[in-house]
Amino acid sequence: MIELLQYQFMQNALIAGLLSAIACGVIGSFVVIKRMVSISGGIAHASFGGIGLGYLLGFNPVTGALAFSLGAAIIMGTVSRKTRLSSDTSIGVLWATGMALGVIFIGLAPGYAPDLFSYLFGNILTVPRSDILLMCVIDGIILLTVFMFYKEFSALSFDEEFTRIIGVPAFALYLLLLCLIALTIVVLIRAVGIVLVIALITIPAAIAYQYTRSLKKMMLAAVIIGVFFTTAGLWLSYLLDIASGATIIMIGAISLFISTGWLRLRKKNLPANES
Amino acid sequence: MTIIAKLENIWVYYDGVAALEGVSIAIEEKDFIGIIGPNGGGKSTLLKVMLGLLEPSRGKVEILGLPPKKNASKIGYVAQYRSFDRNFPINVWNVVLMGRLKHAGLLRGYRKEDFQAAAEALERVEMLDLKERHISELSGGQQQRVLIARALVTEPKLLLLDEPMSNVDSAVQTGFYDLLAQLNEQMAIIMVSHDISAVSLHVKKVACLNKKLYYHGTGQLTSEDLEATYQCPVELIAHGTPHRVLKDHPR
Repeated sequence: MIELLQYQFMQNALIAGLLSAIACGVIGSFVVIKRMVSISGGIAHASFGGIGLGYLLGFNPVTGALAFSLGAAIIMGTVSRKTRLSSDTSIGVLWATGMALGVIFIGLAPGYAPDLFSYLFGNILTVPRSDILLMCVIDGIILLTVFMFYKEFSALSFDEEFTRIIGVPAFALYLLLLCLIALTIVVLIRAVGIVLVIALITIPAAIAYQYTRSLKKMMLAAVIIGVFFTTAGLWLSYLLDIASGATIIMIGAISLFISTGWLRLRKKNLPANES
Repeated sequence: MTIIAKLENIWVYYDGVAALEGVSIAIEEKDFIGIIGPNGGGKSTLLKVMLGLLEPSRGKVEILGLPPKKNASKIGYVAQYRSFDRNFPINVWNVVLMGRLKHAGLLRGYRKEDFQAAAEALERVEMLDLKERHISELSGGQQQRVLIARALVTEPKLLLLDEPMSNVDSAVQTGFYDLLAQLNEQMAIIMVSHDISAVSLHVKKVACLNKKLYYHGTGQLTSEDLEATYQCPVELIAHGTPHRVLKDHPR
């Protein structure tokens, strides 16, 4: 492992993993406690339209994904809160619409889309320096925003109706939180890809949720768990020569499975009055 | 007597179907009103109108002379039990502080006065000792007290309770009503419930709601009111000692 670190691509991959873990630990905690997993999945898939547009018009597909995921976040959030269409329906429709747009744009683009597969399923070993810089900036925006609105976001997650009743701009804060999810997705696209993003947002936070009783500790634990997943996944995928994004997700899924099973067993063995 | 809240001829329609029909009520200082009525009778709608969450199709709402949205801090609201996730990573103290969210303001942390208000509110509901507890480690009654403390931190003039007893053991309900009676010395209370007998035992005045509101500003309800509300004969219960007075009615 040590000699691998001399390679530029390996250094980039490790940094990308760390940056991904920070974004998904912090934002993933909100996604898990406020139960926004499916809307996050919708935003992620809708961003594929932006990837396609990038190919068609010749700009960085990640920039396109950024615009599309932010747009999808605002549309989904608004439709779910302000219209009578259920959020379930709007998520499903935008999810597929974004994918469809992406397919059309790529079809219209001249030639062959070489690294399309890496946007869908991630390839942490090919993250360029320019994207690392973008990930750094976005991580900074996410951390700063969460720091500024921490008490509002946690209240919103706990009891959205109450925050609205006491006169806090709950809807605007909800949209802001969805935009942070969109940013997180953009950070993660290079590491695990659009299709797998949702698992990396959810799993570290879901495991942290099982062991912590304060939101701040949950976030910290989720970041650490995320760093472990990306680093271990990277190493294992290199060792076995398999896809890095999928390996990261598999390590996460197995960990969540073991953790849940272990807690279940432990609870069973507790005396009745403690459970 | 100061009028805390005033509703004048409130009509609310959902898709052309009336949920509230011409509801008028004036809530005075130290009122403790129980609002009873069947499911779908508009109880939640009425609370939403008073909280400013729902704009009535017709009619006027005033909270201490202002529209509800302008005076939100004057109303304390306790939602139906367990509108939140029990395993949410938060302790008692932080739930109560949440009530000061608006007061503390955006882009700044909670201040000394917010902590003070939270401590006082917890003291009033006798939960200060448990402030570090995680919410899942509380009984149903204790959770309900925490939610009341959260509603008290803005020092409201009106406390709205939506089905507060629905998940509280009957053994601790009495203590709970004692708490409400204490709070009633400083604020008006409106309690929505479907439990007619419990409401009539503990509140000062009763109103019946089934789209129309039947309220005479007294503790007395007529059997006509109850029959109009539930559209069937109902046992009539009036105040006084002993509390229950049953009137014959045709079966």
